[in-house]
Amino acid sequence: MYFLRTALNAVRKQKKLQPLDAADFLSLVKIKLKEVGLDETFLHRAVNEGFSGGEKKRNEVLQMLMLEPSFIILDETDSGLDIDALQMVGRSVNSLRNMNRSFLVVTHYQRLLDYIEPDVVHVMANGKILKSGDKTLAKELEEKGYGWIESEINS
Amino acid sequence: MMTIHALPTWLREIKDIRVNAQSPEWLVTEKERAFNALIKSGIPSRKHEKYKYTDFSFTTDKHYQLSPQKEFGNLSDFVASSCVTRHFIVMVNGVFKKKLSALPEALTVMSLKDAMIKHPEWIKSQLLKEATSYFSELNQAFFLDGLFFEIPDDYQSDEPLHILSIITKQNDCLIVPRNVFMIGENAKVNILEEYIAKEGNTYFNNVVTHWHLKKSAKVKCYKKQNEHIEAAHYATNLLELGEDSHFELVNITKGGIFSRDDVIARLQGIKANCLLSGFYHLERASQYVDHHVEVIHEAKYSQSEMLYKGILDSESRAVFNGRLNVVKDADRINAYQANHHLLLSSEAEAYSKPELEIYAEDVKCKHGATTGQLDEDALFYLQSRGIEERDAKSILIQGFAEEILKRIHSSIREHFAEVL
Repeated sequence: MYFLRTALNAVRKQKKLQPLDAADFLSLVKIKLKEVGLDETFLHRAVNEGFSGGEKKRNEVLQMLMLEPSFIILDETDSGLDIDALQMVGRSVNSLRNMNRSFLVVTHYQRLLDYIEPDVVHVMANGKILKSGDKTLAKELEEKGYGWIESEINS
Repeated sequence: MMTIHALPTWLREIKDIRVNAQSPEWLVTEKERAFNALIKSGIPSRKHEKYKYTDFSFTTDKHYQLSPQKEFGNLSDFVASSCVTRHFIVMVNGVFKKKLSALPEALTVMSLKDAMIKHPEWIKSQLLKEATSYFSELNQAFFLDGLFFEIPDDYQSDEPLHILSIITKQNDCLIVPRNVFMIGENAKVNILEEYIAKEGNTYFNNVVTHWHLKKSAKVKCYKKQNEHIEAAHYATNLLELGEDSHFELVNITKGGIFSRDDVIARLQGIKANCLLSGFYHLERASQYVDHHVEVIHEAKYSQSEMLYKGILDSESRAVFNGRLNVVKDADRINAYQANHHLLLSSEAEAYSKPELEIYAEDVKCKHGATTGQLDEDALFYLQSRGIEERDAKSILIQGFAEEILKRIHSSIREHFAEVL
């Protein structure tokens, strides 16, 4: 919690905002905790006590909600998540979406995109973008697999 | 074979003022003996295993003389701004000052001189214990006074009692307080033991403290060594733990150019328990901190723990020597010792040496030591969240120290925060 507050105030300083005091920070973090579905005891847990896979993901989303970065990369956030957690990630991302903020969502599956509607879809293989399109491209991929793109490029 | 001892000239010169008119006969004889022993052996060299990494050059660089105890002006404002608890005991240049202190009523607090009159035989038996080092012998030869307190049986208090040891302007002075603390049966007391300098100077504070814990006594002692940065501090703590008694030490070292703590704990009663810990953060180039901790398990079912952690920056040096001694027939012992160092500079040096000497059976003893740098990945993670490098480092340092600092009584923990 100390870490999160320091980070938040560092970011606020760069944005030329007043730092949050302990009381304001606490009420803010409690709201955000509820959004990501974590218990308040989480705030006082020492790092070496360990976190489960789902808790780690929720923690990352909590940091995202608190720090409100202007550019966000979600790298395979959906791996190892259950349905509830997936919805939570989707909800949190959507709540942050606006004209001034960009997201790069990396995923192997279409499933996450049911909750986060992408503006643009790129297909990447061996470090290169092979094909770009809108959200229908992701749906198409889910049905046909990746094979057809590679054969399309090669032909 | 002829050996050449390092013997500072000041040592011979202060010979004449090591006793006063009220000193009992046995003490005069004992001081004579101690002084001769000092002259004979000279300042220990690095060939002694106990002082292998220790640089005693400060003893020959300076020309020490005994503290003249002259007037030190009005200290009441200084005391008021330094004391952080309701009850406190003030010592000035190693001498107990009743007028400056605020004592809890139930306690018997007096100067060692007065205690020698009140408990002549018992004090004598404490003071005649064999020297544990050259510097406890030095104290033996030159001490004139010190602090005595007695915690009565069944006295229980959670509120820390502050022992504030102030050094006023004492350039090149040798200060040799001798303290004796007696903790009664089933008594419980928390103590904040602080060393502080009012003005900048180059004294050598050579303290010897006896702790005697009776059956089921419980003591927590939080030590803050905040001597002047040019001063030398050598503290010898001699502990005697009775049956089922508990002693916990949290030793935070901050000041001094040379600082050494010898703790010799004798677990004499069954189920005696001793937890010794310390933290130091050295930032100055020639700063040296040394902890020699010896726990002697003399009784069955006794337990001990040593946990010392240090952060070293610049060209500072730290030494930790933990020694566990389990005597014959002291079975069913549980003991643990650990020492961890974090090096922030490539010029800093840390020496860590565990020793185990076990003559009993059915004994559980563990030890461990690590030396490392700040975790680059952790630092990067914090920076990736927008935290500046300097703040990120301080978060990691705080995390490292937390394990020790959280042992300090919550009401005075803030008082120690500056060491980070």
